[in-house]
Amino acid sequence: MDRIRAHRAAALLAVVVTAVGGPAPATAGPPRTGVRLSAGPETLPITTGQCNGGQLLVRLTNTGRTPVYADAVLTAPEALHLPRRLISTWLPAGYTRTVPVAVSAPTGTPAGTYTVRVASGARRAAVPVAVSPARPTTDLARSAARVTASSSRTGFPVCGAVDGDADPARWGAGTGWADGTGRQWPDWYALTWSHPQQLTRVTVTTVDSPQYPTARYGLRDWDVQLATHTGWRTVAEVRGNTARTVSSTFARQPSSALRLVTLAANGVNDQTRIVELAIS
Amino acid sequence: MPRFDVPARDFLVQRANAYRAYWENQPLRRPQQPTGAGMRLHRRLRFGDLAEAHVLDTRQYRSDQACGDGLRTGCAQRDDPRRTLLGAAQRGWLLDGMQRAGTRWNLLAQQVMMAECRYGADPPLLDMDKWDGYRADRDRILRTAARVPGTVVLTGDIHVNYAADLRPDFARPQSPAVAVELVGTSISSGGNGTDSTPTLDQQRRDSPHLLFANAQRGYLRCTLTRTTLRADYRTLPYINHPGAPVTTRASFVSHRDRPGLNPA
Repeated sequence: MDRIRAHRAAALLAVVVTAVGGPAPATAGPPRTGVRLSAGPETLPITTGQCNGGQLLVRLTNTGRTPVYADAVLTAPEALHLPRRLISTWLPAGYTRTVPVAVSAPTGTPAGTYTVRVASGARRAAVPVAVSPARPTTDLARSAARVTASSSRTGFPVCGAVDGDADPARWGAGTGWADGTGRQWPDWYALTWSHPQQLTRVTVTTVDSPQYPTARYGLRDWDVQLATHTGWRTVAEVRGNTARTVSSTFARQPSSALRLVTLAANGVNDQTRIVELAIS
Repeated sequence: MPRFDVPARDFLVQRANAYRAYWENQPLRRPQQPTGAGMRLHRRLRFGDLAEAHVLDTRQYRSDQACGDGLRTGCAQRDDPRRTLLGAAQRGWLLDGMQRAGTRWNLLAQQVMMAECRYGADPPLLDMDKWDGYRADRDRILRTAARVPGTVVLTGDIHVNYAADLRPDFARPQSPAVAVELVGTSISSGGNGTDSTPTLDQQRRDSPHLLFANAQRGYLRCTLTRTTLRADYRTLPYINHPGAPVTTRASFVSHRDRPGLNPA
């Protein structure tokens, strides 16, 4: 086992050396990298909030005549959240690989400019990220400090259900959420606020399109729960739903978290599919 | 047929990165380390003078699937001798290796079903993803198997157990088999499964060379001696909770010099 690990470490190291130095020159001299690095945009403006981030682009170009593996490492102040900090790619001669990297700043991050730095061998690039407070919204779903779910299917991120896009036609284009455990119930989707909010209504939009008709793929049964001192308390239940959009109203009360516990879907009954949530 | 709208140049970079991630995260050996969009996965394992296992790669070097992919009837393109499943280099390596092995048995460990597999009988509806879509390569291998005794094909892919006799012309069930194929089921894909399905029952009726078909989960246990192969299809009644008893659903024996599966 140890020997295998050592082998693998050696192999990885070899890859890194290739990436940094490019093809080793036959004669002694300073190593000449065949990789050009750039990053953009010039400035990336974002607002605070888990789902209000932006995307920077890292470009790696092989300017040499032979293919290489190239690596780039990203560093950022702690305030910023980057889901990935390492880029590693094969680069044929003359090829440019453009890699998007998501950047967000959690709710409460002080406004200011934070710099994401990128290094590939001796090459350096930087993107200033201008963070400003989230625009005020009356939709509490969009002002949640955290949104989380029991799981997510690739391409159907949790942020998709609170992105302000309630059009079922675009559910499959990243603007909706789906859980990642087919035919396993229940699933849950939770929103947490920095301070308790006065809550009275949650509106759920499920799928409704020619490809994903509500009768076959829409959400059927779910509970609406609020966080209390003694745990989650169910304040509304929906059963047998066949509509695209359903509002549940309950006695207005303060809570710092709301969650949907989803129990069943129509037709194939395999997954939770939510296009959008609105909360007031 | 391209399934994704990505330029070929970009797709090859994606493929190179996927190969590298695969190599770094799976228990693969140094010779399998990829370089760019290529990764040599085919290799041989030798078991003394009893058996040589040829581990094939039927995905990386193949021609595009015939007649637009999927299930097709009356597809002449599948007979085109310029089309290949293994690629010329790997096919040469395999045919040469089978003839030179000098072992009692040649085991071909590979990914897609080699025996004809009908999804409809009249006219035959065949899957262009399998060897049915690449007849020229299959013919070459079966012609070699006819000369080199002891060829056994071990197959995965379809989450189903099959046992099959391999003959150069599946339309002539009276002609002698030249090799046998054992298709092993999945560990968990497909859930509990069933002993059979209407499709499997129909395939058995349409294909005399298919001697067994089963849609449960389990594994295949094989025993090789110098003269005989024994295959035990071990199946489980369920896999969605612990404690399932494993039983031998079917057993077959094939003689090295007279290939053909017989119930044990």
